[in-house]
Amino acid sequence: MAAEVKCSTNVKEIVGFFGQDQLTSALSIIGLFGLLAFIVFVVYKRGINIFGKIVVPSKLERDEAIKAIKSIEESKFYLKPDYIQKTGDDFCWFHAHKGASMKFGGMTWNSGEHYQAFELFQTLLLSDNIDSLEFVKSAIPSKVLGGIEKKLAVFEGQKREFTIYCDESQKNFLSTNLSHYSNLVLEVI
Amino acid sequence: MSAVATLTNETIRGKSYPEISLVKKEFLLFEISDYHDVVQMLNDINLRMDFELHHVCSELAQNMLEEDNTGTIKITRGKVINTVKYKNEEDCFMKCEKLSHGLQLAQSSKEKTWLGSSIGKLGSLYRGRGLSSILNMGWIINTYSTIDNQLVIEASKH
Repeated sequence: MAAEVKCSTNVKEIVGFFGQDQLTSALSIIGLFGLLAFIVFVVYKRGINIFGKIVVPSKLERDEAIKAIKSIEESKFYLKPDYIQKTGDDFCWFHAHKGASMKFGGMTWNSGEHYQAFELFQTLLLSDNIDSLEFVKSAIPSKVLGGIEKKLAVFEGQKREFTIYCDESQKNFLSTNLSHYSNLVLEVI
Repeated sequence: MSAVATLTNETIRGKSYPEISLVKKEFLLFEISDYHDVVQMLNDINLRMDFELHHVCSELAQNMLEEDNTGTIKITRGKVINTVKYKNEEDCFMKCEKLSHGLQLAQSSKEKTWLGSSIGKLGSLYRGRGLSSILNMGWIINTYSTIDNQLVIEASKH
């Protein structure tokens, strides 16, 4: 009872201090801002979707879009093959990944259609910062083998190791053909 | 001429891997006259069949075309028979000599095939690499010349 009387006295004091009209206006404005902030928050989180048309994307949609853009940007610089060609039913391709490793794929490589590609492959492989190569479901043409041998010889002079990631049968092939190079590291994937 | 794989008079082009497996068949025959035929052959025999077999067929077929010849590749169990057709007797003699010399070098050489002397010369860097890679896998290569300007190169697993 005493607390109720004290509270009522405080409200009366505040009303008396500001005036009833001003207090009502202030409360209305605060309420309005509060409501606006709530609406903005809801729109930020959930977005606005009118009859299936996205007017304002939700947070989830924005995050996905950012992720997609990032992935496209990355693919532009890192994942786009340096060479790709459909040969028969197969794709022959390679790319230098982030300037540190190379990937090589394709079963139908041949010196007729891919002679220029072999030159490009060797040029990229011989870049100083390329220190590994991965064979992805691929044949290992003798022209690629020649390029690897050259790379190993260069790295041997620099006392550096070169790593090749491959499957078991490729490992057997590479270990017998490149057995003279002690700086070759073969990793089965 | 396009690559046609014949197998007891059956054309196998376009069929999936399990159907061309040598498990059920006696041999596969491919006529090679250009690089499209090589691609067709490589598509047909497929890496899953046997990595080494795929490599041997690829190298023999490409060697043949790089020397401006045509011929056939026949695959039987653990063996690849490459029949090279030459234009005339003279061509046959010269190229057979070249091949046998290359084979002798590849068989006797146990050193690195790249000696650092061919920087910038792509052709010389790769020359002979195909045959030596086949030999390094433990395969044996035998050659037989026939009277009708043909050479049979037989690669078999040791």
